[in-house]
Amino acid sequence: MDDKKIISLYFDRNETAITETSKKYGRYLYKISYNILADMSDAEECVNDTYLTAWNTIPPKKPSVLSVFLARITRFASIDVLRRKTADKRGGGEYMLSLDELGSVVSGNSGPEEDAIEKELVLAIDRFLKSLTRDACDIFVMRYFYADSIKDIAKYVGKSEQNIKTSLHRTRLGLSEFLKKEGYTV
Amino acid sequence: MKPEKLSELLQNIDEGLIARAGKRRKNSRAAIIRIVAVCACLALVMTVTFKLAFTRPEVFDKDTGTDNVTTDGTEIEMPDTDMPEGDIGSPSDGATRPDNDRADASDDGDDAFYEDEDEADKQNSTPQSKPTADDAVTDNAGSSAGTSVHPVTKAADPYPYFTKNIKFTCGGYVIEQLYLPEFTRDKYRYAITDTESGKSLSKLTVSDSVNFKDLPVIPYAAKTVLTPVTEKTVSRIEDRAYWYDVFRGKKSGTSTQYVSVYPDSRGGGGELTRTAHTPVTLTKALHGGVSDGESILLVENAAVVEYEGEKHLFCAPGYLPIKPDTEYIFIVKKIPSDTVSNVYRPAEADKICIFEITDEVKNAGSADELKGLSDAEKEIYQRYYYDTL
Repeated sequence: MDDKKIISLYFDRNETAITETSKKYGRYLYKISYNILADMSDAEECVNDTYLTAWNTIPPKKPSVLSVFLARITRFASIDVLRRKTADKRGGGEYMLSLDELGSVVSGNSGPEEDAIEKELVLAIDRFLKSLTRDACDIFVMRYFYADSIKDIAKYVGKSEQNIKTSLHRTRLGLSEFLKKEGYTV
Repeated sequence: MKPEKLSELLQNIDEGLIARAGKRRKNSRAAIIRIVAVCACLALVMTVTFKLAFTRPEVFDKDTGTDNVTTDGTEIEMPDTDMPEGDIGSPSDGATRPDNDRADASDDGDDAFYEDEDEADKQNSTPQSKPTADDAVTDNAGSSAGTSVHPVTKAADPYPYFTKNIKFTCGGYVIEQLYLPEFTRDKYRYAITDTESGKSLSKLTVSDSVNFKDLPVIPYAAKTVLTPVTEKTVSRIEDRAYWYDVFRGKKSGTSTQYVSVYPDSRGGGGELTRTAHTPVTLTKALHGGVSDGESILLVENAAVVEYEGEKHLFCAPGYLPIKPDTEYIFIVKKIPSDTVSNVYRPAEADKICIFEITDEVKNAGSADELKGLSDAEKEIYQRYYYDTL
């Protein structure tokens, strides 16, 4: 079923919206959640929570790209669960590894100015990502949004794991320098 | 800035970039699946070809031209080939293919029945299809007291209850749930026969002669009906109370079976197949509000459970071994519905947990006295039974 029809089911408050969402995106969302949580039951919970959130927010929201809308909810819910589970501890899952890698982009210190510049920062990151080659950008998004493993990304993109690691390393360096040039102290 | 913060910001990057990367992951996965499927097919074809090419028939004495005779003339006794009485997955009572006309009008006028499970098991005598003692069975008389949460079936065939048909009569119709092989999308189909005319129907039209409150339930098995309860389940109930519902209730009525009814949104002739249902209609069926002339389609099974004077309708694509007049603790995951509040339909069949309040449970003073239960299971009994006394 195409996304427009699924969204219209939500608007009609037709429960098959959830069945259809689950059929089309269930595995996709599960993978995102599992990448973060590394736990089957928790991942299932987050995916189910995603359906509930989608049900409660559509309408009035009308996502332009349903897959991304759902992915964001799942990712957010999964990170939330992870935060509650692990507190300051670092556990398993690709997501934690990807966080470690992102540590090279930022200072690790937090400050009040961050909240203020959040929106601008996101736009800046967007600009940076769009300046990359398609492969480099996709690899970055796969690693740091979808929390895919290096091995999986290598399969998706058709490159070696070493290539992926190199690409990520360069992109992280590039992002760090780009943000400094733009005047962001991160 | 902390890495976690940066990761959160990535949540809001351009959706086009996220979608593009997502599509690439999907396409690559789909390509891998296609390649694996092709390789598997090739392997199968090669195996079959190899076997056909190199399998030789029984060598017989070329001089005598006879088989099973040795060179000195004595006869070799051919071993019996013990054929199983039924295949895995074949229904117990014969013709069950959807195209067969089931005009068997055995209208006994009584409440629903279904084949004697022991009889059915004899006919399906392959070891894999025979439920083991640990399986969740219809007749729970043998279940160990206090242990009401059964583990996932240990039989090689994960669908032991699928091997038989369930047939019942109501309101002048014979309704039979047919088992289909697993590879078909619609595992459960129904054949309805009008006992008067002998005609097969694709749908049942509500009329005064059919009282849905008296309809029998068709319980049928799902892959995992009763999931083992773990500490995680218990903590999830606490954390996400809105998502899990826990309540105690008794199955209403004296009949052991109910059937849920839905509006027929598909129509058409031939076999009935599963369709999605709307909760409003379920409630209408539950409270007898289906209108005359309204078409209904028999689909997923359901159980009516009374709890504190209110009826709750359980709809699950799975087997609910619920006995009448027996109290249970139900733990279900509820999917959202803003139209009806007391309809529970788990997203998946294996998200129902049922705990029977047996005599042993009633006689014990606390959950610690119950034997054979995990800590999490004891906690459920303690919290939802003993603490409420």
